Amino acid sequence: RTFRNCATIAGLIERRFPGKEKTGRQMTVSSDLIYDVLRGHDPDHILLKATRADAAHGLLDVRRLGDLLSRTNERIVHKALDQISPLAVPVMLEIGRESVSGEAQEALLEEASSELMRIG
Amino acid sequence: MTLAVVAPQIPAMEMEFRGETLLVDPRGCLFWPKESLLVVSDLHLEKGSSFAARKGSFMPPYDTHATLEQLALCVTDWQPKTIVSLGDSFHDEDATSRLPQSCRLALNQLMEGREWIWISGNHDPIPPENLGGIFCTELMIGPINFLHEPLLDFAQGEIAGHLHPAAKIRRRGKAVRRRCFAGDGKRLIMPAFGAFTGGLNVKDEAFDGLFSRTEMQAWLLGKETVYRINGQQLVS
Repeated sequence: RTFRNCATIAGLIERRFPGKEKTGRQMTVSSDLIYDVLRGHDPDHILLKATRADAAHGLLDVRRLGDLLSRTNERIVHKALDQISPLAVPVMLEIGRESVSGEAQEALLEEASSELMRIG
Repeated sequence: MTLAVVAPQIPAMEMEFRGETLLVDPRGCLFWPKESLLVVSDLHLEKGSSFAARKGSFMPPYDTHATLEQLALCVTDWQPKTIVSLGDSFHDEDATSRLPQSCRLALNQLMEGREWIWISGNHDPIPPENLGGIFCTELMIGPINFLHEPLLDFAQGEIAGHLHPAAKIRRRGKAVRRRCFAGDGKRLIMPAFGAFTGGLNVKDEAFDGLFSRTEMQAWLLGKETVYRINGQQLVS
């Protein structure tokens, strides 16, 4: 997804809005496909560098997290709580909002295909 | 339904079609063991460079490499005596002239020691230059007829490409969309093999009238295996 944003800004792909008619035989290429091919064949491509830089800040600011961890200097006290702490509320709200696609997709496909077995 | 294990990580799914056993490879190719025949469709080689030439849109031009690499893996695993490329092998008529030398060599290597059949598609209606292989519009082997574009009015046993089928399911509030083989026992449409090819949902009107509504099934390409899903479970 981050790559898609970079590619759109770079003008490599166009945004598609629902309802916009495809003019003539407009051919489009999915950003996922370009991303996969680039990763395999030109991993230092500038768009990939930009994607990695953006991703480091997107969902989680890796640098700030790294700084925090160095500051604590291994002085971390872990305390299991009985109830959700008020300090955790912002994180709790984020659960379910961002989806990361991966193995879950294969599991869903497996479920759908085994339903076929039961019926037929 | 049995799974034949090709390489340790690639299980192919058996499919009965017109009395023949075919193997559906999750990488998007089809293997016919009895004829030692490997079928791929819609390679769209040099689609990346075609975009650069015609539209000024600079796609990374590695799609041909990626496609041929994937094809080489399939060929190594299946060791077919014959390979059929089911049309739209080249994205446009000048594609062969844009083929990088390394790809040309790779292609020649794949063709060596085996029969290669190019079926003409709408993107590549004339034979590729200086590439070898046999060129035709249709190929009939036993009960199976290979051609590029599925005909509305046809004799049974057609394996075609052209439409780049993809299927989508929705479960637990999530949607999953994959390229797929689509068939109803009388006709089978192959997914597009090319690296930069996408997929058109089988529920789209382009597929109207091609399959029996009740018999239609989709074989979705998973990461490491094929998922056979009933047509009625698919969403648009």
